[in-house]
Amino acid sequence: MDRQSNSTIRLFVLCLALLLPLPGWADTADAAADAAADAAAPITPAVTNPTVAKEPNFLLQRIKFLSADGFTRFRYMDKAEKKVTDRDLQYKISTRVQVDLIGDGTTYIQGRGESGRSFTSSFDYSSIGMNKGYWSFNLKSLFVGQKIGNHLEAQAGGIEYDWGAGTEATYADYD
Amino acid sequence: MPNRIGVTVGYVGDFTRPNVFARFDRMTDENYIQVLAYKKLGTRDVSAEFDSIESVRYTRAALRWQKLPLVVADELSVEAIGRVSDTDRLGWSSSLFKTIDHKGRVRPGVFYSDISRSMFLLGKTTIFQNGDAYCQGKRIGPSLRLMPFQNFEVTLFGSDRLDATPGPRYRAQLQVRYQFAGLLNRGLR
Repeated sequence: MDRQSNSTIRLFVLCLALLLPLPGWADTADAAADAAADAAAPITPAVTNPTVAKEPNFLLQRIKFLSADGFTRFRYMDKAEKKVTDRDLQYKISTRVQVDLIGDGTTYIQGRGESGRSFTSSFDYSSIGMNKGYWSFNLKSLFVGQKIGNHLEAQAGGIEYDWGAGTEATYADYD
Repeated sequence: MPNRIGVTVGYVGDFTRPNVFARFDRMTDENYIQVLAYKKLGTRDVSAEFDSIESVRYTRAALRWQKLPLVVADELSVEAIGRVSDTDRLGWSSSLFKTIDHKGRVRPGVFYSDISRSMFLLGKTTIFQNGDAYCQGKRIGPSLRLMPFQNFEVTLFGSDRLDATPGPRYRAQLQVRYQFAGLLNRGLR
């Protein structure tokens, strides 16, 4: 695995580590505790104090996972009789994340982080089977999107294929 | 009018350099143009497009028809690709699926595809990569998708080569998929 892949993985793990101690969960726990306390306390007139109102985390409000998939598969392939090329357990991790920069996705950054050693192929060998196992995780696409009015959208950067109504049979591989 | 018209200009290649940062130096290069129109007609999705890859021009059309009024199948997918600039080559693929239960948990299917080996070759260089499950040549195969729980999917897929095109002869796979985007999104809120 090259240094760039290593640093990408570290960056991804760091991002997850920063994101996953979720204030949202803490809020839920706090809310439950508050609810219990409220139930026990006598009813008093509500006092609103805008200074105590918690500001929502800017980043967490704007990040959404468009997809996050974990795959494992057993694959057999041969070229001819007694010429088996694959008899392996493989795995794949794929995530697509969007960060809304302005408004509700008017301007956004979108990326696809995925296992696999090529742009389109995303399964890695687990080492169970004929082929040697390996681990790879790369940010395979990263682009900026801008919605212009109600009918126009522009994307720039390392963007995704557009399959239309078709599949990978006649267009780009997507597994 | 189509529901969506997409125009893409960019560079396609460097397939073995998956990291986007390693490919950003191609931002100034251009070898790919796609003009695609997509239309939804009730339970049918239709698209037609023009592609140019390394100055090799293709046309491609696809139809995906759900809730097909047939007993043996309720989903049909048909697509065709033509290489129109240097040599005339036509490839096509079709799939049929039938959902057996009301909740859509069991869905067997079958596919046939016929993509010429030289469809995406320019000299000896591969300029584009279609799905490796279909590869090139004439292939046929069954599939079965099971969804026992929400966000959990088990798929069986097989394919057999019907001609002498180099590449895999038999392919069989058992795949398990778990989708956890909803879980992550709930965690973020």
